[in-house]
Amino acid sequence: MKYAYFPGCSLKGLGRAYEESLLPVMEKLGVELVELNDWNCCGATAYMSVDETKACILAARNLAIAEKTGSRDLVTPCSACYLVLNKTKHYLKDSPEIRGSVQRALEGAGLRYSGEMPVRHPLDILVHDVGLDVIREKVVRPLTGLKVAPYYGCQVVRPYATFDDAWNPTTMDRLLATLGAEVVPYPLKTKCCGGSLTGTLPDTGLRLTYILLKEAVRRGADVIATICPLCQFNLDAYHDQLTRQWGPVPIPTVYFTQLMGLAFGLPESQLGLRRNFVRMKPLPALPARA
Amino acid sequence: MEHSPRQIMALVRADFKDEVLRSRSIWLCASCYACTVECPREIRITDIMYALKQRAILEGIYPKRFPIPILAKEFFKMVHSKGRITETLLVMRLFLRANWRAVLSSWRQGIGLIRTGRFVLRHERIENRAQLAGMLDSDLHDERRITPKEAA
Repeated sequence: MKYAYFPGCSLKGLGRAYEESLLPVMEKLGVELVELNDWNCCGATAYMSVDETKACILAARNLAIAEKTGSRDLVTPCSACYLVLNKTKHYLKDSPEIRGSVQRALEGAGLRYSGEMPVRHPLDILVHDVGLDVIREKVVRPLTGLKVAPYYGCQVVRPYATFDDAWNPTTMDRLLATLGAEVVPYPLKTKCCGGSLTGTLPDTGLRLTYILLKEAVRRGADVIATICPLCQFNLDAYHDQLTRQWGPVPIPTVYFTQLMGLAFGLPESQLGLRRNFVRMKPLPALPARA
Repeated sequence: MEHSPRQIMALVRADFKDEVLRSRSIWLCASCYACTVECPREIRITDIMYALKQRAILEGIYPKRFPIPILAKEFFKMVHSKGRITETLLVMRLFLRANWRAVLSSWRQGIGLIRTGRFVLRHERIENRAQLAGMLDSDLHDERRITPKEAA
């Protein structure tokens, strides 16, 4: 299986542990990710706040480059990238004005985009293209005894719930269970982490972060699994401030791909786990085989 | 929050343009789309907030010392010149422009990022910056830029 791959800026920066774990896990499963040549920033939420048409042009350049690769699908792991690329696809379809501006911009640059190529999340690829049965076969170190809170965040499931339910997504729950983990009920699984508000307005943003961590601790989770680099950063990097303001919520937040890597027996040092502020404890000992 | 989302909608409909565009509340939308998928009348509230932010920036009447529009503008500029975002450099620019004291209160986080190898000081950039800049500027003379569509 071969896919075009759009990493996005975070996976080369604050979220590099996501890419560090995603690539070997996909390779183990025989999924080839081919990084787009000279891709640019998706624009995220900030660019869209300034100019809608330019935001669509920015995203469309990536879509055009992706289409040129001849791959069937484009895969992007970051929630903001996933949303912006999908949103641009919708806008190009629904708005003749935006379509006109974007097409002019693409033509001027010698690019073209048909609007057809699906933009998909690795979670979707893993559960629906690779399949849980194939994933189960690769598990050599089941995560037995590890209690995981599955946290999806917002932009992968909203507003376009293309591969899972917008209110109660379960793809990651099923994936984690396949790895042998104990998935704890986590009703806040699609609540907002605060996004960039943690940096711009900490009093507002960090309250949202704290609620998520507190609930995971209350539910008895050992670790939170996330699918988004900004969620990971928010839930991991502000524990000093959170502790000072509301008290400690000592729980690590890792990418679901890092948990997959552990279950596949990949060396911990290659999964970016050392990049966490709050480090994950070594896996619990496996119960003795009868 | 100065105005609740309901108040924002009501102000828009009653044509209180200045009050809405100067409000800090529209910038508090983190774009999680929870309201958009919940709204029984299928009003795309998140997108309306985006339209209001765009209009406030276009008309230059956003709250000037408020960190959220400052971040949006710095993000916009970095993408224009480099094609990609280097998050740590973006946050430093935000702190310098919006609240330099935040640098002091975040020093431990900065050290943590260095320790975990996530503090990037070299700009990420694309090769074909001229192509991207040309594409983004191709929209300059679009008439929609002079009369952006109404938010509601």
